[in-house]
Amino acid sequence: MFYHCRQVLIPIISLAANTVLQVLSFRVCRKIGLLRSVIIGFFVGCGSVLFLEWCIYPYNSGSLREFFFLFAANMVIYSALGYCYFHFINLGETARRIRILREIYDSGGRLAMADILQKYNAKEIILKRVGRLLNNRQIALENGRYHINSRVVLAMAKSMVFLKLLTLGKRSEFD
Amino acid sequence: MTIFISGIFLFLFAFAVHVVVWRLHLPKRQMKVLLYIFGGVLIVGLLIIKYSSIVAENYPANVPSDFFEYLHIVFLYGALVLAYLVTYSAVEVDSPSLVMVTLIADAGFQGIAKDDFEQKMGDDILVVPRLRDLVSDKMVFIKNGTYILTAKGILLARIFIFYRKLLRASKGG
Repeated sequence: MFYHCRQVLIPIISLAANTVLQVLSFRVCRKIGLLRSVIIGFFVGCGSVLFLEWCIYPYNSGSLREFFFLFAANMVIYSALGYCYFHFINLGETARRIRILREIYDSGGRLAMADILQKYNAKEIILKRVGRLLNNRQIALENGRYHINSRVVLAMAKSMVFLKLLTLGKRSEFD
Repeated sequence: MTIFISGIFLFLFAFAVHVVVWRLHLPKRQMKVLLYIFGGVLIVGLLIIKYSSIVAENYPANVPSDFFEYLHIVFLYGALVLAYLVTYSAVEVDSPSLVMVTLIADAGFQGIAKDDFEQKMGDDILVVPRLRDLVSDKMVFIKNGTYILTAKGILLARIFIFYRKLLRASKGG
């Protein structure tokens, strides 16, 4: 029973290690950037899962196959939680809803539409997003025209459209 | 092995139910219905596993033996559901970056002119729909043309403000 109790705790402890390392690495060394700090945190957490599994292996009373499946389950749990943490960080960084909430909050909790659009608008979004896409060489600007510059980003966009078609039956929320 | 297979199977089954329900009728409050589906499948699934453990009394290796094994299944299933829900929120609304990439890709080999691109990406596409989402999610309500935060909206704003301060990061968006 205590063996299984420890098994359940492994992904949670590893997620905590991920979070602490991510925050520390980003605060201590800003040069590495937010994305790299998330990647560092994630791999530290993976290492933590491996280490903790190794530590409790002697208490395993089942077969090696049973242990392998428990390890696989913990790795899936940790990876899924790590992905959620990445998404949480990403929400703070890029989500428009969060940014609008923040603008209203910073203005004393109430704001008219015109004021919201003055503080946060399509121009700023385009500037930031296109800047990011250009900096990461995912798109290119040649002779005043934008072109796709990365097959990976195109594949990501296509898989998102596929997922939308599969679940919602449409390509876009505006269809 | 039971934990791994049960968790994965329950998740795949709930996902299939979700796709079928969505194809038959797209719910108005999608997140709420998704939570009902994933929660319902978990409860029914655990009851079936519990019942099968009574039936398969002679094969104890194939069924969870104690509370922590059931908890492990719940954790595995819950983590997969959480990961899916955060991905779904990106499916539910169009990410501006992906909309931009799709718009450029749709223009084909010749690409899209910068002015045309900026004209197609206005406040009505990028900001106003998200403001509407905040109202329908009850984060914000409108009074005399002013958007006012609800308690839920204040809580969410505070969580992100705290975390952004912890990271010493800018406003984002």
